[in-house]
Amino acid sequence: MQTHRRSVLRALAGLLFVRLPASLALLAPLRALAAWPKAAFDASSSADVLDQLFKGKTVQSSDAVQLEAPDIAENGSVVPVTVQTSLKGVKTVTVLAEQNPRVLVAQYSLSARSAAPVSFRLRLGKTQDVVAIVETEDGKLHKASKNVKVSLGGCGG
Amino acid sequence: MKGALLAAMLCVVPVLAGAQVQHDYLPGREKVVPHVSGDEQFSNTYRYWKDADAVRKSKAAGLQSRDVNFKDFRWLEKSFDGEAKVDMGREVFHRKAKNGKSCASCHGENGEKLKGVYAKLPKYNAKAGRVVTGPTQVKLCAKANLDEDWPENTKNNSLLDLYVASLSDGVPVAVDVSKGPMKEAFEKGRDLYFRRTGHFHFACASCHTGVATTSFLRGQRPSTFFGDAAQYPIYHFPYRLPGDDVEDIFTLQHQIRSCQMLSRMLPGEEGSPSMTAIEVFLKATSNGYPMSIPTQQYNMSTDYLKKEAGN
Amino acid sequence: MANSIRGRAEINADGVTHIRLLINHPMALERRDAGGQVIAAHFIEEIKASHNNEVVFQGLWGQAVSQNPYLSFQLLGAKKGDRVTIGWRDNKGESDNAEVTIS
Repeated sequence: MQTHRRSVLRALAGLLFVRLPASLALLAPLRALAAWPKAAFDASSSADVLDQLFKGKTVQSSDAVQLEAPDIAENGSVVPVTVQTSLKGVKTVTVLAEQNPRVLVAQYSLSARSAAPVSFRLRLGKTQDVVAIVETEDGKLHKASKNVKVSLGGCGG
Repeated sequence: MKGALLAAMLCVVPVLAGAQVQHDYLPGREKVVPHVSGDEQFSNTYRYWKDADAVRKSKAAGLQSRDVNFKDFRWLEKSFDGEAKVDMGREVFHRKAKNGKSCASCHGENGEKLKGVYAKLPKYNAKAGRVVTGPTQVKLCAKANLDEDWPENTKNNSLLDLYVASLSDGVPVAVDVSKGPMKEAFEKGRDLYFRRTGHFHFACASCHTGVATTSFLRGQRPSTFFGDAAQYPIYHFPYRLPGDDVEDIFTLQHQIRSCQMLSRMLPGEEGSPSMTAIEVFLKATSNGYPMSIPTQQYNMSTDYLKKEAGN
Repeated sequence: MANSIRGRAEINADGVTHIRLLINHPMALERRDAGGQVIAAHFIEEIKASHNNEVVFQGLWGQAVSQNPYLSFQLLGAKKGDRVTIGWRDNKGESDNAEVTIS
């Protein structure tokens, strides 16, 4: 099992890796993408974030959205989270950290060509709920949340 | 007044005359054997994690991470982030020194001559006249052959230590402590490991044997020492010691020092005889366990959670 | 910041490509120096993935995204050998981009 993994890794190490000149970067999108929403990223409460991003639309808890995160964060600066959903026609995936000074962590825009699960790592200032909101093309908002405990590490740092 | 001073001085004299310092040891030293299966005398979970197959069966049987002495994740998952550091180590390996040579000049374009070597470190270095760990070996070799100054616990040294260790990935640890300086180092390291010291009066064994193992301590997972050394050097982002500039690579020496600082012990100097002795002890008690490089200290993806749930 | 993006793109039997990215970036939080002066945050605000002339995925990030950010998602409708372009831009106007080949 380990041998197989190693040989796969070696094969992948040979993949093409090209640096493009700046002018060719970020090819023209076929549809307009969101600009960076400063007010939303500065907001210090979930209510303000939702107001900024979704203009006060109702958000429903949904079993069709799964937010994977550890029960206890090993280190609050690097908390892995994964948002998965069985919903179709996903437009955006938004992640909030309800007790962070700036509640909005990230917003991902998907297309017909991309899909969840979306994984990344975030910083949590203290024990709190992490919330994932999936927006579907019909305009509905579906959420899932997970409480993550954060403390100073023990002997291991 | 003079009498009291004289009395105080007389009390000091016996100590100066070499009276033995009494050490407190945690129990268990006599049970240690230089093989990973020695865990049977400690947490007695060896059969649940002794190889990938055993881990798979344990998970299928519903055993949680703590039931298998937390040996079920780091070993089996290679670190995506750590691979970037191995690549950086490879660059240092190929970098030409002023004399036109690089590590690769002697050790091979892909480190061929160093394959499997790390599984046998630390070892007795005859030229140096002492037992040395990986970082010390890198330092000595770089100075002698490239005239480079790469002391232990510096960036280039740690990167090379990681790269050379990666050439032993999958190789079972095989450190011979049956005789001579290596045996002395093993016994000294074992004693140091079980000896209480510092502000907390902890020994390494305080957290790494007994009730602390197989438990969560503030989100940390102390495990018995058997087997853990096989994953060092390890990618340790984001936790760093103050002043660290070692690309988030924790060599085993650096980990020992980190543990010492966090347990309020006087931290050793990386590469010193005492620190080397502790590493000999840690490596030898992982004998028989395959090296796994690069892995990471902290779970930085949620894949592990799926494994916890038995998926 | 050259060569800050490290990526893997692996396609499976169902034609779904699993993309994993690791970006070398400080993602520094806004903080104060010894004198109490505010040091501005320095973090990636936007990251995009393009395939066949189309932006297929966009991420908008705040300061709470960890240092040396990791990102993974699925790409649909691609094939082995295709190239995916990844680009990021941070709040100081710095940027970088790279191509990842699907294997």
